[in-house]
Amino acid sequence: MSFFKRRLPLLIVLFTGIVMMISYYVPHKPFSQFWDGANKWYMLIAGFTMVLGVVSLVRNHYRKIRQGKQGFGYSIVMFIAMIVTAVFGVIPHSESSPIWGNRSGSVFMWIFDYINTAAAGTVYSLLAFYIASAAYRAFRVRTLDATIMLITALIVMIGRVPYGEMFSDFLTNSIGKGLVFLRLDNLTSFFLNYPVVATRRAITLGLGLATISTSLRVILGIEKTYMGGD
Amino acid sequence: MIKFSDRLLKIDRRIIYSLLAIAIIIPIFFPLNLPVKITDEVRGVYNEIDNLPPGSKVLVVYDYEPASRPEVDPMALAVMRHCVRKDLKVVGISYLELGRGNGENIFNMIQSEFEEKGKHLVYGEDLAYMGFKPGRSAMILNLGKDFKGTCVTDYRGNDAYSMPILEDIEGLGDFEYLVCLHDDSSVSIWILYGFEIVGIKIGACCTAVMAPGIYANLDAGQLTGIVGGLKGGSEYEKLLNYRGMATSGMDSQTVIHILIVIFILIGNFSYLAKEHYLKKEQMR
Amino acid sequence: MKQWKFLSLALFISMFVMIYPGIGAQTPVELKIPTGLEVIDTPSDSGESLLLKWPKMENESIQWSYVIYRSSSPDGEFKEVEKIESSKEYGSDNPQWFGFDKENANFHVYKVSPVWEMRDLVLRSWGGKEQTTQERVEPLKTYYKIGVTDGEQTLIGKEVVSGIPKENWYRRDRFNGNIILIILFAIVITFILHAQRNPNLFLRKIPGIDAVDEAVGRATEMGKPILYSTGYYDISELSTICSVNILAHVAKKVAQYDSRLIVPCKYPVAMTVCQEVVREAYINAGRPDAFNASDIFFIAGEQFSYTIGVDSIMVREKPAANFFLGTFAAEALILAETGATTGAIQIAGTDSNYQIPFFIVACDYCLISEELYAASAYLARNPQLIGSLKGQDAGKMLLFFALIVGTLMVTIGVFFPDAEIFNIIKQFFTVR
Repeated sequence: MSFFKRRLPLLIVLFTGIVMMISYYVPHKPFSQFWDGANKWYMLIAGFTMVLGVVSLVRNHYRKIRQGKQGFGYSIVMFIAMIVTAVFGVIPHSESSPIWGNRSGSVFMWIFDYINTAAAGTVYSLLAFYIASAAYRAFRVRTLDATIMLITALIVMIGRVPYGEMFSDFLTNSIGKGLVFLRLDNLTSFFLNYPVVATRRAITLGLGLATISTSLRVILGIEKTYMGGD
Repeated sequence: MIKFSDRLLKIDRRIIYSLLAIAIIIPIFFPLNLPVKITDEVRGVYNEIDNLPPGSKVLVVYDYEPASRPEVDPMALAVMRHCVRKDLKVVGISYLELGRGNGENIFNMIQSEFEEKGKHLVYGEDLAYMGFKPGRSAMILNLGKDFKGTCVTDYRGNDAYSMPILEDIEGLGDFEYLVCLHDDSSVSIWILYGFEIVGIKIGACCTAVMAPGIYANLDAGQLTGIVGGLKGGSEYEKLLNYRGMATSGMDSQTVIHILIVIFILIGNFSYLAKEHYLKKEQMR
Repeated sequence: MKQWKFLSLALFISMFVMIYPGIGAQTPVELKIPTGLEVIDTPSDSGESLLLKWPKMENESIQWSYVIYRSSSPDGEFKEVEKIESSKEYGSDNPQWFGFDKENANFHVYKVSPVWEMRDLVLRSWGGKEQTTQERVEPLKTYYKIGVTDGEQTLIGKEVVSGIPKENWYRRDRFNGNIILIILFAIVITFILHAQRNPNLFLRKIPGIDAVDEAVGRATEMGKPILYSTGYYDISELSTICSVNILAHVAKKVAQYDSRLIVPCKYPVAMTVCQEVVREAYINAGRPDAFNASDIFFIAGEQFSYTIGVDSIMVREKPAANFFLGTFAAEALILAETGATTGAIQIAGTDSNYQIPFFIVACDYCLISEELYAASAYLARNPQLIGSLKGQDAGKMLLFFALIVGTLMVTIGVFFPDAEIFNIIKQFFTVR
């Protein structure tokens, strides 16, 4: 059992990891075929795993309905939505029956446009409200670092909207050309082009190294917690 | 005074939400018509498309989920209108499962819009939408080698080999330009397998939150330009001389930015006032 | 004598009159057929392309474009496949194939596709509808010609060259990346071996991970569950694997404290792996009976459906601790802010640059980028894992050094554009 549960999966990881690494540098058969084949296999397996998801979803919601848990009505809505969307999306489109399939004018596209897009857009728009309340709570002049961050955030927020440009025009045209360095749009571009790029690059480089090191740990079987081991 | 500052600091978040909702809705009904200034980042995408000779082929990638449609659709429409006005041939594709419908909608809108204006666009000759193709980075890598073989069919089920628009297209490199409409980090994969391996020029049109992250790519010459968020969209619309959804959305965005700045300032004044009075009390 | 003077003046004037129209105007360059076309196999590829090479023509005008024609037989119809501006595509633009020789600026090179042997592919859709398409089998011997055009007139060369692409055994253009990878691997392995001999290596504190015990303890005291999200991506992403590693440690603590762990998943495979990992953790903690597989479930593959699903769990169940570890996109702040309103202690960690600020603002602890990858080693205190982290730090020093040297070299290189060494260094750090 230990061989099938631990050693065999680790051997598969080791073999696949090494061969995929070699395939990146060797474009010749059989490595090129292995590279293409592995990608196709992954796509196929990923498609079939959706069955696992559907089983889990059905089981969970069925239990809620059977036990009459609070909010079980939503589980019924989930079942109806899942079945209707799947049926209308899977049956192919034809000129005689345009309501099927995923072309424009089909029921599937109607669901996509007027239910999925609207619902997802609503959840996404919550972000604006959360950003406002998070900014209100978090941006405080507690320390020097926080103050620098606050000032930068204010400049970028104003500099990215037309009022920022209008204010900058007022500064340079009415008060003096010497204040051009204070133009909020220029300062915003400066922040986005230099400090932001520099920090992101530093984080990305660190992340790249961490990826190499973690991949090596996984390929060599040093890191096997994700297989349920210690 | 301390009590007042404390109340301001612990303001109910629902009050903030309500003020924000009002700030979003009012400019929709009463537009502010604020001026739009064109930035170099947006001009980088516009100029690249504008300088292409008629008949050139552009690949437009729809890598955004339906939730991002209010932000990305105006850019998608602007880019498509620009391409059609310049008589370029446009091929669309999506790398996200949920991005497939966005492309279909935009293509239909553009086709009917130009039909009304008297310009007949033939599907399969002037424009074509390949739909969602699975495989992410593997898919892009394969598109670089064999575009038609990777797509096999378009979104409507037509054979890719029989479409006149794809006749001269063998790999990704045969397109003159690639516009990536995205709301996640997919542009970095198009850069890696498109720009670095095949050498295709790329312009990014993305949500505002993604834009700061790709300035490093712009700086490194991997992107010709960035159209970021409603701001970028409104600039592109101005370049094309029309007021679209991005320009009207910018009014709301401007008011929100100002409102958030006011919130932050109120929060900080209350904080400083409270600290000041607490110190005074301690001194006593 | 006077006559001679007069004659010379007349000659000078007549010559001036003859030459005058040419002054200030460019002499039109005569369009000539390009010669010397060669076809070579593209080095370092998987046998899918060829390189066409031809010398730069004398008096090559920037108004000209070269036109490439292709055919599957020498006598067949040659079709135009590409038009290339004469000022572009020089050998010197491709040092990965031709090196840094100055002569490379004297010839053009262009990568072309061959003609492929195709076979029919029949696609059957549900309902029995059949459709025929094509599929590539292998590249055929392909024939090429070259022409030149000035926009009005096009001259096509008579030379016909042919070739078949071949697979190569090594990506020479990726040699630099290979060397860097080997060096980094060697460093990491050396440190792993070193750590096995000296297990007491110093590791700086990661407050977010130290807070795991506190969070689980608090949840137990309050009698409330713990929520754990592995993020936006499937198990194929390294960030999710790292998150699952941390989940194993959290699950073990939860099992020991007899609390409840809820893991809503966005992908079915990630869900199955999470179930296995948590089950093992409960078994290792000696409490297999307490494991409840239905607490680890799939919500939806769509971003915001998943987000609202997790949000509603937070609002209904009011977990005492929320863990958001993995890659997150726009949902990061929506999740973290909802969690904050329920008063939960929140530990987040992500490798996605864009979302780090949101997590820092809305959560109690945040693992920044590579800390997420290091967390598992930090928790396990396994010498081999800690050694790999040390190797990572050494790699960082190497990169730091390379950055300084590279920046200096590129800066100095601006003043010496012809110096080969600067070009070699620049190319060494160009990824392909």
